[in-house]
Amino acid sequence: MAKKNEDKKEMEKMPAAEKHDFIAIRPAADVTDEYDGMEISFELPGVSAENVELEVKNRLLTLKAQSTLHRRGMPILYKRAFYLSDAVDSDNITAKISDGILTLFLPKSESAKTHKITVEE
Amino acid sequence: MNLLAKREHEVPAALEKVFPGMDELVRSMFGRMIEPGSGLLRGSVFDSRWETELKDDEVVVKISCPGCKSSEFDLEIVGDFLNFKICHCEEKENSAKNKHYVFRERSCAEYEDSIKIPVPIKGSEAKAKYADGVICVRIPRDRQKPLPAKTIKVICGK
Repeated sequence: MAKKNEDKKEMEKMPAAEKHDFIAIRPAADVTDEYDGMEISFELPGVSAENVELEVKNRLLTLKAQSTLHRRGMPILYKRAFYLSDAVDSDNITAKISDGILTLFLPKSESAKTHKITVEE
Repeated sequence: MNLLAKREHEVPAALEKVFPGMDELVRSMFGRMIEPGSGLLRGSVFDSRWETELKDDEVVVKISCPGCKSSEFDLEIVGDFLNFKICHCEEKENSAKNKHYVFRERSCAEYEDSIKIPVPIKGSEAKAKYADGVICVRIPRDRQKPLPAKTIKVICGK
């Protein structure tokens, strides 16, 4: 019950544009694993850097991005969330956007990095 | 990118006369169904990659194609149709061997489509700009050419 009330309060805090006047879309994403980190790239057409909102809270990475494009007469709001494992160094996440592609780099913590071992003869 | 080739196959001239009759027969048997490429289906099942906005002095068409380069587009206006083709291959960019995909939703492919512009336009004065993963095509309206209009007389059926 308390959770329900909290959700209601959260909804009331949201601006009008967040409640009804948009169409929420889950953007397509690619996730690649590299030696020193993970890279996530999202397709966000019509989104500029100032309209991207990225947040990491309780290891939940949340993306919200307002587009200049419309669908069924309403502006598009891209929304997606990922749970991050402990292996991600969440303090050093970097993001850049270019030509409608948002690329996040999530560095691995030192303990999670791959260490190649060479076998001696 | 989820780029789908959508252009319909060309129909031989001899078969063109037969097809309308076949369509009529199917409609009379099963009623009007949703056809691939119709506005109804495109709006619900296939989310279109473009939107058209009619303004007083111009028509603005926005085509979403994130991660492309301006050299990968082929735009042309034929009559009142805007034809566009995008050839994009992400694979070439990601040729680094040490990349390992955990999951992949974006795809590389070719996409082409035709958009019917509903008002008279000056195709020779069209301009296009690519920014934030969206091609914005601005085509001035031709106010001198009247819209094709037909008056239909209603007769009382008594």
